[in-house]
Amino acid sequence: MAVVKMKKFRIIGLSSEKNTIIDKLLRSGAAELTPTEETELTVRALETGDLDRAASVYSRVVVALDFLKERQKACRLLVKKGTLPEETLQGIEKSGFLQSRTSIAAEDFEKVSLQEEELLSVCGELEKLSAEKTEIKTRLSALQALKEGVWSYRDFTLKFSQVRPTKHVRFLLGTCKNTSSLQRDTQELFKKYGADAQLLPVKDVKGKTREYILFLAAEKERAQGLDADLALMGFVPCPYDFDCTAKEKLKEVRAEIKSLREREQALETDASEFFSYEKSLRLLSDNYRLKMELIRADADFAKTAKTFILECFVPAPDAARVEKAVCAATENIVLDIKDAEEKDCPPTLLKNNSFVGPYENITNTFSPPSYFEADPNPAVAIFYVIFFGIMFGDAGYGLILAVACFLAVRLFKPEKGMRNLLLIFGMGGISSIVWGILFGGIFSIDSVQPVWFAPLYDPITMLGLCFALGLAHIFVGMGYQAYDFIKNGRIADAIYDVFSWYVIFLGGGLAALSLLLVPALPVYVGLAILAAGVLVLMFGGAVRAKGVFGRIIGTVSPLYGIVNYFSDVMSYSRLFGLALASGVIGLVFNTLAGVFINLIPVAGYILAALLLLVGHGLNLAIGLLGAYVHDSRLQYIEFFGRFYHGGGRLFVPLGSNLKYVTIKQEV
Amino acid sequence: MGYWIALLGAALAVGLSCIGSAVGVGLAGQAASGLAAEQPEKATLAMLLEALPGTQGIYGTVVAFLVLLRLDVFGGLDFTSEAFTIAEGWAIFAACLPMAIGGLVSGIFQGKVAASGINLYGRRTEGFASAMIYTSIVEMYAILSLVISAITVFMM
Repeated sequence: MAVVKMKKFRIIGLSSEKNTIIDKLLRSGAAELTPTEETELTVRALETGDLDRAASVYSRVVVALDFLKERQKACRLLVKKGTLPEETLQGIEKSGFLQSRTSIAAEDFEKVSLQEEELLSVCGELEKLSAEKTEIKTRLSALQALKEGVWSYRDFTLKFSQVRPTKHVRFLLGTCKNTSSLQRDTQELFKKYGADAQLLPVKDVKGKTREYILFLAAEKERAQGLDADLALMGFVPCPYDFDCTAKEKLKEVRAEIKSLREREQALETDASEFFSYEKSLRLLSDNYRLKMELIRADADFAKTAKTFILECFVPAPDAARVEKAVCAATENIVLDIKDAEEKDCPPTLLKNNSFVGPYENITNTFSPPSYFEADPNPAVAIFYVIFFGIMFGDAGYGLILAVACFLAVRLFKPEKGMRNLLLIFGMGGISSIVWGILFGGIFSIDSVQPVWFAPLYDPITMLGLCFALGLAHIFVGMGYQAYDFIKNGRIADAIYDVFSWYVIFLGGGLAALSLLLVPALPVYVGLAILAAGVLVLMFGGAVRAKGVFGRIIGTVSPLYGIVNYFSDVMSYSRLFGLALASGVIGLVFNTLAGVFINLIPVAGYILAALLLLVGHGLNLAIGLLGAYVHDSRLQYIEFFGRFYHGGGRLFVPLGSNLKYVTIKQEV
Repeated sequence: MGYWIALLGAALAVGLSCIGSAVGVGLAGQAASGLAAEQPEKATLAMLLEALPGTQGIYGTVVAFLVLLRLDVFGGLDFTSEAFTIAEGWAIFAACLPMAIGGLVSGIFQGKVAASGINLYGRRTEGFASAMIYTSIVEMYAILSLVISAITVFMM
């Protein structure tokens, strides 16, 4: 239940054996490489050539994988439509919802490099298919445009190539927009140039005439200015000179489109032959990912001509087995192990039990604890689960949430981050069941009697409960602060800044108790304790300030802290607010459903059932979002604000940063 | 008469809070669409941020519903009701005001914070948690309004 102690390994070895040693570290799954300190005799160098080569292979594999993924999607669609046979999908590996990375032995992971040549040729094939696919796409869109253009001329019976000027006559072919003045304009044109012309209506699919084909013959000598006049009429000359009629051309284009479409589909079948390579390609891509990571890490090793110095962090519990594994690999090394110190900036590895573990997610989202800080997660876990239950606040919703989340974890075995989130929600669900029963909230049904009290009818008690829980939360946070002070030898600070407040709140609480509940206890006992606390607080402020003026201010300013406490505690009224909101919204839907049943005879029941299903589903979703966000906020601002520094860096052992697989721990 | 004044209060509580939420969600929604256009993989989480300013409308509904319960509207509207004096009506009206005003203004501002939070998330994926927290801090004031309105409506 804490931050795991780290050992720092320093290995000096022969460059020729470097890969063997790194391989051992990889297989241990418990070593994070870190830059070595330079010495006078060593150099560092980044082999940019190696890195570029690895990066280019990596991106090739990634692109091929993406293409393969797209093709799988396309094939699935085609199979569903029935255009491709079921067998096409044979090579596809099943992947589930929320799938996690597969665990694989280091040996198998490395073995894939033996297949590298074959796999890269597969990449080559896929690249070819991809290029062909792009080409087909471009050609298809060009043909589509051509088809639309030629289509306008389908009623024109001459070949395009026949529209050619003779010695004395110009022939013009083109289209004009259908305007009200078109007929008149053409008539005028004929007169002006002595032209002979024909207007053919072009009907679109709906049977409307939007444009006309204009076919015109004019004597060359009289045709001066004809082009300009035509342009004014919106005449677009025909851009085609095919040696066939429009109808023939259309047929030809359609045939080509059809054959391209067929080829496109055949291409999916071609691609489907490579589906079975997906797994190996993924391995290869991860292989190169690791390779790149190692090349970059290698740049941070100090080196001489024949030797290298490698440094890595290893969690203390794993130190012995890692040491054994490395020493078993070779005799020619110098291995030095020491405790990680502050100047090393060691990474943080948290070890918590299965209840607290998931809440590391919440803390790490804020910022992981630094290596030298106390792990706040046990306290976060306890308060998170309590607050979540109050805010979500309904036993029925809680049951649904808990069952859904735990089932999802069981069935889908998701990756760690998702798994933790589901577990947090699941535990929150259980907590909601408890609070729901205490507060009488089960699907917001009005007639359910609470075991303890109903917040809606007794809001003052509810607010009191929220503030009390909030105060407890803040107190625990101050406890962490005191622990931090004491660990660093600042006992006086712990007394002045933390314990004085404990005394003040104890006194205040006692005074309130004697005023409200236990008249037998004299009020001045509580007040005296409170006053003592205030004195310590003021004394602490004065002692630590400098100069006369500073001391006067210092005496008074800590009292300002009471405002902080007040507003922080007030903030916990959100527990009540959110519980109230989701409870009453549920009640709204229940009431409306009741109205439906009363008003509409039979169909009312169906409508009511639908409304309840949708309404409560919606309310559950909103409640879940609210509880998650506001619970996190209470941890981050009210709780962490008291003591937490964060700023840690999580421990990332070599080989854990892969995309598709995790490497099984050996040795 | 008191009956109608109280109903007016409920209408303001839910109406103004819903305006606040609509403006807020609208602002955040525009930012979210912008983000989703460029980085579709971030669309889902951006939706969570967009939903946050939506709660004011819900709180307004809660207060209005509590008023309706007090007035026993679900037992049928009572057009001749003399059950509430004018003073009582105004009291309930006043109780609705914190939610009406708080919901309207906090919804709009929360929407602005949510929109910039979505921009933040677009630029830095790890900024999501901060964006959530910034947005939820504004929500505090809607919750305070809700608590006071709800307590007053119900305790009166």
